[in-house]
Amino acid sequence: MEDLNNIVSELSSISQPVADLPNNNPFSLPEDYFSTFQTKLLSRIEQENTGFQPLSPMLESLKKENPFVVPDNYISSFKVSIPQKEGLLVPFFSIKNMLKYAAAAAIVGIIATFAVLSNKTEEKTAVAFTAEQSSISEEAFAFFLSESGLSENEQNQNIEIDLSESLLVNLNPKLISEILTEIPENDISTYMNLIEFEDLNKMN
Amino acid sequence: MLEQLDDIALVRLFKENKQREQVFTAIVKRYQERIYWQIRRLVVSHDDADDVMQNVFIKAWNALENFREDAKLFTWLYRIATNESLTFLDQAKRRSSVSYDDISDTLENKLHSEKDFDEKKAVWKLQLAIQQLPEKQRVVFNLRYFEEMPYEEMSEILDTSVGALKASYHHAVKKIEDYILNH
Repeated sequence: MEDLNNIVSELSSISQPVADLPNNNPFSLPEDYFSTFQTKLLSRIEQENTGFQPLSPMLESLKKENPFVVPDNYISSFKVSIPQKEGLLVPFFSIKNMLKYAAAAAIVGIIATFAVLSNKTEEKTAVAFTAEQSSISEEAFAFFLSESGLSENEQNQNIEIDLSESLLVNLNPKLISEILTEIPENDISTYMNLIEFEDLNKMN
Repeated sequence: MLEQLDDIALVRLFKENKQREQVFTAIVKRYQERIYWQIRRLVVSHDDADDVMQNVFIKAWNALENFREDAKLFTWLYRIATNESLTFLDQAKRRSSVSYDDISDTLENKLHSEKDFDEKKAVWKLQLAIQQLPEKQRVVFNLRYFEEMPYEEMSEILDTSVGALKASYHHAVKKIEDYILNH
């Protein structure tokens, strides 16, 4: 062990007030603690090695006898009476399902209404145009075609076509406006001069 | 008979499985007081010190089989004791940070509840000052001041260089001085 004087002188050189303090032990401990420690330790080591450590030595010392009594033949004649239960009723209609179906039906209804309404609008346009078409005389239409610059073959084809049928099927307001933008303005004005005033009124 | 054998002979007998319990009892008897006081100064209360000391010697019992004969038995036991004490303090600290109720379990309060505690007495004032130190400085101060242990031996136990230990001791003494002069 290092010379005690060295330790004391080292401490004095760092702090004289600390070196002056008494270094006796103020703590107390139970009597015979060290003489009984080895026995206590060895018994704990034994418990740890055997894996058995009673939580309460007092309880461990008690005899495990059952103090309760049961009627004779109770265990051998024991029966469980199971009460008969009715089958579980599952409702066919549930409010949740009903709401789902109602919501689906409402959506289908809305879509169908829109479809019918838009279809009717197209039909109205077609009907109006058929009425207009029927009011144009064949001579006026032939003149229009001859002035439009189409070949004779094309003109014949157009004349042979059942006008009411083909126009009724293919023409809608959008297509008419597209056709009108393609026809030169001179042609339209010539055509307008040729047709009678009554026909013009009917078109409006 | 066994008490007269040196550490190396006792360890050999233990390894040879001859009179294991008696051999181990001889080792415990030889070092229990010094180990106890090393633990007690760190954990303060006797009950805690008793728990830690039992753990130290149970670990020693389980590991003595593999103990290297070139190492010092005393140094090895001190090392286990220091580590176990610091582990115990860490666990206690974690418990107290979880619950406000456990704040009273601080080391200072444990000192106050010691049987002969008297704040005016220098010995208790010194103990209060020691509890203000960081853990490592507290260990170094206790080993040097109370155990009068050479730095070289301390270095083996704490796995720290002699220079660092001297610095720790110097800081610890200065802090204690400051506490003593201001309280």
